[in-house]
Amino acid sequence: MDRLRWLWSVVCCAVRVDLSFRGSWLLNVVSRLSQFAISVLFFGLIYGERTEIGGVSWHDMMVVLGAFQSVIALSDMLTGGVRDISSKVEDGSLDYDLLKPIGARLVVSVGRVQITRLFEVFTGIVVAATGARSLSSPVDWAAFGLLVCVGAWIKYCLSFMLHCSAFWFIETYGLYGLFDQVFDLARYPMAVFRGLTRILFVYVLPVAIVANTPAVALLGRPFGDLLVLALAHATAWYALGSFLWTKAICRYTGASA
Amino acid sequence: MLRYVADVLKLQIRRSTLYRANLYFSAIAELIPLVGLLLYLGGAFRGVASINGYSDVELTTYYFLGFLLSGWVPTVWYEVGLNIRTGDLNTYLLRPPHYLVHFAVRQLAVSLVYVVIVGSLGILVCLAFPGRVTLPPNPGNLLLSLAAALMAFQLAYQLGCLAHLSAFWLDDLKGILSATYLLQTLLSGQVFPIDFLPSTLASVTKVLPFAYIYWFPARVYLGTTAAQQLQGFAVMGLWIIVTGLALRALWSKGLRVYHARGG
Repeated sequence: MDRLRWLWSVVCCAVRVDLSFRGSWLLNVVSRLSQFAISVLFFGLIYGERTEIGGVSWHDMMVVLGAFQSVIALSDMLTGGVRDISSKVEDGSLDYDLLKPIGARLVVSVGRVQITRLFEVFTGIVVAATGARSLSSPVDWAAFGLLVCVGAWIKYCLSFMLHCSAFWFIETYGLYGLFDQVFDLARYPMAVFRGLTRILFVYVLPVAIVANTPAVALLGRPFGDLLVLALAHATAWYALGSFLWTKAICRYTGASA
Repeated sequence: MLRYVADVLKLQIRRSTLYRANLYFSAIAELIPLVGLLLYLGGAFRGVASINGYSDVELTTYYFLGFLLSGWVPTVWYEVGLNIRTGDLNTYLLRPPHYLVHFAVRQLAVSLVYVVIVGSLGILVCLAFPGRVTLPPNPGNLLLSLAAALMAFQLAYQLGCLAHLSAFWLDDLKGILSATYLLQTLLSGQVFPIDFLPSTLASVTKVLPFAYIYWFPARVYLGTTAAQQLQGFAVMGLWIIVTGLALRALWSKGLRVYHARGG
């Protein structure tokens, strides 16, 4: 109950912070949505008059893009706080999070909810729905919703693990930039990843499956093997992240505070 | 003055190369979207000779040049707006060189470091995707595209500063900066060549300054007519003058309302 009340106050705070500069907030929302529109426009221009590229139809592509947008926005909306871990470790303000009566991992993860990004989640769903047309059943939609959450969870786990590196290294911003760019590859359909890149981005780093799995589900195609793979990744990366977090907290002295 | 500039340049190069692993990660981060694109375009060109007038080699080279330019073209740091808002600008106002010159030199140092790293990563890309990146039709195009890249640095810096100077009047810059970033992303040719747009829209975009940051230097490299080059350089030069004058006017107006209240 305490946790729920705390979460609710975090959400209220986030809304207030977002709306404190309304003009800036609006520009921010518009520009984020436009960035997604640019991405859709790029693929639209490449497809041009063609209906299919490399076995992927334009409609399938739209579903993948929509799923990608929803996964990334959902993950960043709820767990954007992980991006602050390194600065908190650097200036010692992590001490305040550790002193709170709620689990420190939860506090640092959801401490900075970005409600604004809900618009992006919805935009992603709208684009995916446009691509799927009326071919998807309610069951497909339910599977899509669930798998978007799994994708967002995988992204959070990987991002959390990466930001934990701040306990050992200083100036790791380049590494976070690299992670964001690698995750941007999730917008491409599975057919793009072949040979070595398939092994790397499907089995080692689950970049290719976070958006493609919900997309396949929404299109009503069999997704059992992808689901198993996604759940295995979600569990494994969470466990590894928890292990690293425990090690990191044991190492943290708050000396920089 | 020259000694000051040289010292700032040297200091910033040292500062930028202080955390080398961080630097390499940042450079590799720029490489990832290019690799993704090349993998995707490999499939997109199967069965077709060209997409919107670009052959596979031309489009690959275009994005490759975009990757090199991304290391060179400055992204004006949040520090500029922050200095104005927090009052740290005072320190710089007391120094003889102009604040914006001081920052331009620092940006140049960072770009020089990045260009070396991004360039060496570029060689790896050429080896990984053999035959997909081409040389310019003649050495003249290479020289002209280098000149265009130099001018693109100046133009991008001035455009970035114009957005940041709004900190004299605004308390929160996030909105205006993300809007500028968006305009630059869409209209500079970074995501797709301007020629991909419908002809009317492409003509309008070619009059705006953003197209001269990525699209024009890359287009000159790939080969254009002398008339197109002349027109492009003229429009680019004009924008550098216009944004330079706007920057000067905004700076002097901004200083009049600046209270250093955060300092």
